[in-house]
Amino acid sequence: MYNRGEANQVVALRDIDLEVAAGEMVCLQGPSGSGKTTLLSIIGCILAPTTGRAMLAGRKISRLPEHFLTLYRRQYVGFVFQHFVMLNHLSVLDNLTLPLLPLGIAPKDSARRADRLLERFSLSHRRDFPASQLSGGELQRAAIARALINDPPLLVADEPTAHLDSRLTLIVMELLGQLKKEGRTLVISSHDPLVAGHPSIDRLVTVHDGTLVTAGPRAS
Amino acid sequence: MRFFGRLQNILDYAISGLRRKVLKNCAVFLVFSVVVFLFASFQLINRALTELAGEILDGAPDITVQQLAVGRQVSIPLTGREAVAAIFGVRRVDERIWGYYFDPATAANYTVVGLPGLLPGVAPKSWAQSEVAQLFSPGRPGRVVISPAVREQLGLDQRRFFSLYRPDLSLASFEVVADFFPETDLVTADLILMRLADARDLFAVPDDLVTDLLVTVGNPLEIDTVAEKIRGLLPGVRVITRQQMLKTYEVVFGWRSGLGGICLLTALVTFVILAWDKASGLSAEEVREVGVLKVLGWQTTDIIFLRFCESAVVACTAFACGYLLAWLHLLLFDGGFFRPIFLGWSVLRPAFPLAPPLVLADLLVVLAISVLPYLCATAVPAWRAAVVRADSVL
Repeated sequence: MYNRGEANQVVALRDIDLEVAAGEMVCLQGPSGSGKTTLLSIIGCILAPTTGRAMLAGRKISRLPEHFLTLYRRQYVGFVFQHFVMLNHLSVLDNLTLPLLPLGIAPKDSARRADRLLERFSLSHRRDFPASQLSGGELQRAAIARALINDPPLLVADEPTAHLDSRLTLIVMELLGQLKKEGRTLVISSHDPLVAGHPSIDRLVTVHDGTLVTAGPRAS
Repeated sequence: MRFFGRLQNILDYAISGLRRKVLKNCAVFLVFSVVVFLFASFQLINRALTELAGEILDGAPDITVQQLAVGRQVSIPLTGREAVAAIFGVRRVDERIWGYYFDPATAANYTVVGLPGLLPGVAPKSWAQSEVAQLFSPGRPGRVVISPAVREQLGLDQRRFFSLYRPDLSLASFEVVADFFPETDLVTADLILMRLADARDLFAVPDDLVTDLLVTVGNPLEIDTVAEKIRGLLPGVRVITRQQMLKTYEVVFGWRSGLGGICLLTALVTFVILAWDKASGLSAEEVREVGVLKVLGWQTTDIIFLRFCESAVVACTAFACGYLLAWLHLLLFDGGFFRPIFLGWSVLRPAFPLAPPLVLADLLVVLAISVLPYLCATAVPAWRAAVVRADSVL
């Protein structure tokens, strides 16, 4: 619930009952404004629900103060944003290592980690380029690489292919599929049928007006 | 270890952030440096002058006795000399004639001092080992020692002879035998030093009068006691101890420094207001950056520390730069910008070199009145920036 008790109060989600198993890849579907991003934000420890209960890795996170929510986010969650959310003035390498700075990891170690991910996502040649000079596909791969820099068990992706063409969408979905094979849990939101129909997706969940319409095994 | 690594990482990030906003930060840096330069200059010059006065007055008489009449100084009869010399603890009593000679041609006011010799407690010790000593070597009368500033005012160049008018408008002729060292300019800038007899002749002072009696006390701890005894023995005299003279210098320079300080405080307050304005006016780009950092796992405290680092780096570098400039200004240019404020706008300007002192307490005072207000002014805006919600970038 946003702006609780005020004139512009909005109930973004209600009666949500969703459980995601470890290693599962779930796709949230639904029209714009249906509450997908809010649900992902709660799963990703960015927002705490005003009522109800949210659990992550067996711990209740719904009543945690912001400080501890951030600690959980650092430890368990990698977040891929719809608009990439890169700092354009920083290099790709610096963008990737941003989450490591407050952890006190030495710059050399951070760079080593980032280099491994850049190589994996075929971005090594863009390492020192400002993020503003990357193409949409490169930005999204860099965003996924950044989400993985802490090696989180859970990856949350909000419309990760919204700004990509079908070829790049499939490339990104392949990458996400590989992450699933590594044992990570993925929760993705998307309108894109290419995403919903990708073989890596275990389950489709439809959100409409803040409630779950369907939540079950993906129809084959 | 991780804690220090975290601080190091955030500090590095802050520095790289400052480089990005180079114009804005350079402007703050420049203004801050100027404010610190002004504060530090006033403080350093005040300290240097007070220390110099202390060194020079080290050779001054323990006690100076002057006669007052209707609250003004007049000549003191030598009859009191024997009485003072008889006080237990007094080692010696000397005579001095100290007067002023106004030269209408140059509008300069010279201080004329006539001494019986360069004895300790009568003149600075260093004079006895310098060319000034020639003045008191046997020879003909009418010899003087002057400062380079007096030489310039009298238009002497390399010449050695000049004349001054006696009260009856007859001319007294003098020969310059030496110049004072520039280091002593604080007290010799306008000084013409001569033998007592020559001063008596110039001012037509009768043989039984002088302007001051200079008292040397055997035990420095007894100076105040002896001074008190002189007051009781010679009613109507003014008794000045060396400590009181030093105090006068401190008060004069301290007052001028304080006056300047008040003016500068206004500048500092204005600067702090500007700093507040600069720090509180977060651009949309800055708000987004904070949101990105928070969503990527930065805590509110990390953001506050980041902002603090940015302010601290600017403030500390500007402080170091401003203080160093002030120190160099004193070392290389003798505090030329501020000399008139401290030394007055007299025709005869003292030109002595100032040794810039480095006193930790003074440095901390400038640090406290410049860096701390700036950091405080940026603390609240830093907190306001840090509480941007992580979901603001979604």
